[in-house]
Amino acid sequence: MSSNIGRRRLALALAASLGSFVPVLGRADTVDASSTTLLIVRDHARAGTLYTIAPLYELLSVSARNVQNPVADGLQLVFSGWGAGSIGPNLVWYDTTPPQHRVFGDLDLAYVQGELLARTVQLRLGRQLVAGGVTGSLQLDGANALVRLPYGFGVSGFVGSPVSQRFEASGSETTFNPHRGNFAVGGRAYWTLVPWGEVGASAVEIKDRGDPSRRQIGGDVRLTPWRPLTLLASTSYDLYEHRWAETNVLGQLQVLPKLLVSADYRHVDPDLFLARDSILAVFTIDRRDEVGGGVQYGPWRAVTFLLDYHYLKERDGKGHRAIARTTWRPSGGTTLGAEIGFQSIYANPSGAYLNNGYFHARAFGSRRLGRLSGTLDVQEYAFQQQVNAQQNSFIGTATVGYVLGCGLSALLSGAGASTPYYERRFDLLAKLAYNQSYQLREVR
Amino acid sequence: MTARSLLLAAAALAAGGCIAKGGRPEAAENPPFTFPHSTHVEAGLSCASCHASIAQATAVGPSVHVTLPAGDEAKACLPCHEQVPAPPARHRLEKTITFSHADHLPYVKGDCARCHTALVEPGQTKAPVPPMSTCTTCHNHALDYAQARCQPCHVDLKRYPLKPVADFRHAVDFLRTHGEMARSGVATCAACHEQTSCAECHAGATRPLKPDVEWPDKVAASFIHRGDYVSRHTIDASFDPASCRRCHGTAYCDACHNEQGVSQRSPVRIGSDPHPAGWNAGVVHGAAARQNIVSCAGCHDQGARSTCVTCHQNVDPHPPGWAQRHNKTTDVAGNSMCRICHVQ
Repeated sequence: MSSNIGRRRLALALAASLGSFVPVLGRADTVDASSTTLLIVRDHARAGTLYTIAPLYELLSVSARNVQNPVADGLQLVFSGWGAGSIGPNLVWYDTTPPQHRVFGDLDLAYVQGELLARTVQLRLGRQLVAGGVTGSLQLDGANALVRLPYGFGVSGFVGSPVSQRFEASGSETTFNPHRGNFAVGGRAYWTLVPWGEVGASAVEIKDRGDPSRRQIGGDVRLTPWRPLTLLASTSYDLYEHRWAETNVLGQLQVLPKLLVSADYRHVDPDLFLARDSILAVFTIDRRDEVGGGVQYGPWRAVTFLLDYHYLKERDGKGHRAIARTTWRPSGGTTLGAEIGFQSIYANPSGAYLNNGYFHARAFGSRRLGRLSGTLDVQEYAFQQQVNAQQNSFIGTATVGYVLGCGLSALLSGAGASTPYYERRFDLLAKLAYNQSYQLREVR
Repeated sequence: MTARSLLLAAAALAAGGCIAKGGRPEAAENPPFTFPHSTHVEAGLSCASCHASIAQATAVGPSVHVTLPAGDEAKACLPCHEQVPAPPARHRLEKTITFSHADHLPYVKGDCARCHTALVEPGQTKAPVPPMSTCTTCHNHALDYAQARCQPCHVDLKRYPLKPVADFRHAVDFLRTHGEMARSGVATCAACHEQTSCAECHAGATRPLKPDVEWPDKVAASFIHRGDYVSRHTIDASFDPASCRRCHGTAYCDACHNEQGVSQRSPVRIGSDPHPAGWNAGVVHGAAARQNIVSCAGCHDQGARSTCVTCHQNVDPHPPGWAQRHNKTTDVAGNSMCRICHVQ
């Protein structure tokens, strides 16, 4: 598809989405409006040359809820999109057609949702995220329906086309959507067992212009057999490859009011996350098992400790991931925190490729004084093996914010870094944000 | 319509649309309450003395139906007050539930304290409301609760911040575990979270910025890919390639690799081959590919144009057990990728 057609489609979609809001805003009980203007000036390396770029972003989000109408209950319209302009060289990396176009944008969400038949049926149409069961999270242009049946049963289903960036690449090799393809259908049936939890069975099929991209079924369960204990499990089976794609088991136990313990196990075949019409889908079976757990402890009201460790078993190797984090909130406007972590993978017996890891340390703090606020965040990563002939990566960020009132706030952020890919790098960000919730009508 | 004019239209809508509708922003801060409820309750006054109209109220109104006594009823005030004082300043209340006092008062025989166990006192800015357990004393909402069917009792949970209740703890490494929770509870997530919130991270195909770039001041939040992630991404991708693939398609990786000159197809190549010396010997790249084929896909997933095809077209590339799991005839007929090497 040519980029001109893509841009025209984008313009039409944005215009239609925005236009649809104008007549309904006044009919809603609540309208949430959010607008963020961001100017980022930063160093940017492109193919070995350093540039200074300055993209200007406008992110807009409007949500109108409980829109009065004669058909549906809880009618809701949601729009979220953005536009950007490049001041200076257009080298924003995700722009697939640089550097000719200095103005670009996209639509994240644009849907209408309502409930019918005494709220037993929920319908959602437009650009949306569908989630749940084996589908995971899928950004979709299409329709989603949920039907709540008696006795705790229910069924949901969706059909549409996986979203492609800027309407330019529907399906196949150039879409950013991991579920590449131009047609997706799926759903989930569930049974809610009061008060125990919920069990579900689900399926998804995604086609890439007729070729199979993904065809999986799965099951999931959420149980609370005892109030402090939550158990979650899910599994998915690939019908094209005839093997299990992923299995997860997670348990969380509130041992004491201030002590929460979790443990989990995961088996995954990562190669099944490639589209089935990818040439690389035929080469191998990759299997990984991961087990671990975490503890969250809040001995005092203002202090929280978190520990998390996971062990990875890969066919020829192993890995470790650990993190310790503490947060202290001495007052409502002050937060101090620190974390240290470690992650490594030793997957190749030859000891050369794919084996690497890093230690990291981070300290952060924020302070609010009336309308004024400030934060500081420093991060250091030390690599086990050099990355681009460098052993360390450091980045420090400081921000100053001011609440202007009427939902407006301003923020100035500066960052300095020394990383494997930038000997020195400086970023400056200026942000004007507007967040407001409007109650247009008293509650009935 | 050009993209520039669209941007202007969007900005105008944001600025003008909401304001022009005459809507008023939610009251961020109410002035403190001044009326001493406890003093009046201890003096033996009934609630109905001031809230007379509550018995007919079918909705939770903005003024909590305060009508100060007049005429003979005002005599109840006179032992303490020389005259009936001016009504206290009205407070705008968060209207978060659909509730009919008219329907419920007969059941409690006018005893307001059955539900209202605490009353607002001077200095407080928020009036205490009965907890949901008060409702479930009589109403069985177990199934509604389990299925997150909060409406129509709760008007709009998205309108005010809820702390996660025990059943849906946002705790420990929630960044990693929330996906598993959402598999069987996405409706529950949606009861409080708008999709705009999910899209900030999950609209990976369209979203332009990492969360920590958009919100550098949210230092305590657990953002994915925080800081200098470019330097770490290959390590994370080796550790958990499936995790990358949940959000990022090949083209997402390839666009950057191409532009940065680290791909064979880059218009400008920089530096040396990203692979180590001797990579093309089958034992090196073959072993690595078998361990993490998803990483290979970050650059080499162009179908028939893929560099892998050149060599592997004439050598069986399939892993053990492939033939048992696949029907060659139907696969070749139904998947054009197979026809790159196999004749239908």
